[in-house]
Amino acid sequence: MILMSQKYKVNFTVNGDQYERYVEAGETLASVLRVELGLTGTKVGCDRGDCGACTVIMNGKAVKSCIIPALKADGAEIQTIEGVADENGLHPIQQEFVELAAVQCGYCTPGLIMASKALLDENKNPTEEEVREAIGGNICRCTGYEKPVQAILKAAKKLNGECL
Amino acid sequence: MKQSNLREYFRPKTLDEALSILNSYEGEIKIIAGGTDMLADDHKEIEALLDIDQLGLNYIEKADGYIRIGSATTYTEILNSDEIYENFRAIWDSASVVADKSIRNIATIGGNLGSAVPSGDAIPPLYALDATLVIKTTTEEKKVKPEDFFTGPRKNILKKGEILKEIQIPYSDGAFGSDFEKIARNSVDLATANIAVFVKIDEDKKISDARIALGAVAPTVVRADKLEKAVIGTKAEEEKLEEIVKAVEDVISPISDVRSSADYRYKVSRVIAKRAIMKAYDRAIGK
Repeated sequence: MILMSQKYKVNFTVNGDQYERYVEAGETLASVLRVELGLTGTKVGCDRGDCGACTVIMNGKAVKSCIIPALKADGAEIQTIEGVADENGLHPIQQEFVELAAVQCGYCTPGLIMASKALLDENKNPTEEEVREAIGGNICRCTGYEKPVQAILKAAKKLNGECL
Repeated sequence: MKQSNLREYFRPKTLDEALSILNSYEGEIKIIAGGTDMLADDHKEIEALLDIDQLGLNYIEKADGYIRIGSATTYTEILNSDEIYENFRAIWDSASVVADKSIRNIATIGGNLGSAVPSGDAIPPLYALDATLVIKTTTEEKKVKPEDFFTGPRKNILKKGEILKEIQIPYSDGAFGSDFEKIARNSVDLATANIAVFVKIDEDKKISDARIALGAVAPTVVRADKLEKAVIGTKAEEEKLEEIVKAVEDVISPISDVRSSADYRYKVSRVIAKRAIMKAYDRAIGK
């Protein structure tokens, strides 16, 4: 006998759009975003909360979506990398990542951008230490963190209206 | 990661409802708050999860003579509390080094106690600060000390039908200070060894009371009672401490694992003991 697991209804907002889906009890938020909604900008690396590639913003805070049960996201407001740019173009963090070439293979980039966006959303003027802390759970295996840190600090200045 | 055998997910709105689900569910059911520890692996034996994040158990409230921290309070919420920073610094310090920020946003202090890993950073401060844990069942509220709560690696006394509701920590009077120190391979790793120290000083600035607890160096967190006695009457002078801290070796029984050798854990336990006693003392004298 095959035991079918029960499906649960989950409602959440992703990048401003309301979604309703039926998911299995053991499903993760990362998997629902990628498979059910097709938002594959959120990456899954380790699938156990270590690498940070799957970082999204949930109710204003950076979280690792591979260790969030999908059903815990019921009622939540979620932002993924797909929702960061708007009709005016790239977000300043994205622009600075491009500008400073803070990207190599790119797999960690969406997670780095979501973690740093959550920081800049609540702290407009972070110190370098605060930036490093905010991306402390995001692992880059290509090159390192110097350029991302510089890009995030530059983006903060831009968001504050400082001329660069 | 996906919990491949999970069949049911409960997310009740009240504590009573949560307790009644626990009591009536017949299969393997596990309580989660943040769920960050649970979802790091696929727990094939677990059939149902009871998510307690909607029960209103995330609070930090002053009561008469003590502070109440709800078990589902996140580390980020602890870090945002001036009350904790000023009066229970070892807890604040430990919250600041648990995993990384995106995990601290969702992981909870109660979850760390539920998981009961010997290296849990939230645990030694509760011994050092004389915390009491409140466990709720349908019929009663039980109070236990951390010493009686943890029974081994990943083991505690919680039985089915019981939920860890809150942590109560007494305020201290007079001059006091506390500190938490951690040794880890990198900033987001589990502790190789950790320690929390609480000291009180008298008018002569001598230590009059001390509570010291070490983690990741025994099957559960352990109190270093001999060391506690040995520091009383001192002013945490570094030269004196070099000798005194050897007393930690009597209570620890570290293992060798992927993070460190037992030998290194013996040595580093002395180092962090000295460091934490000096820092707690400096805080007590207002330095």
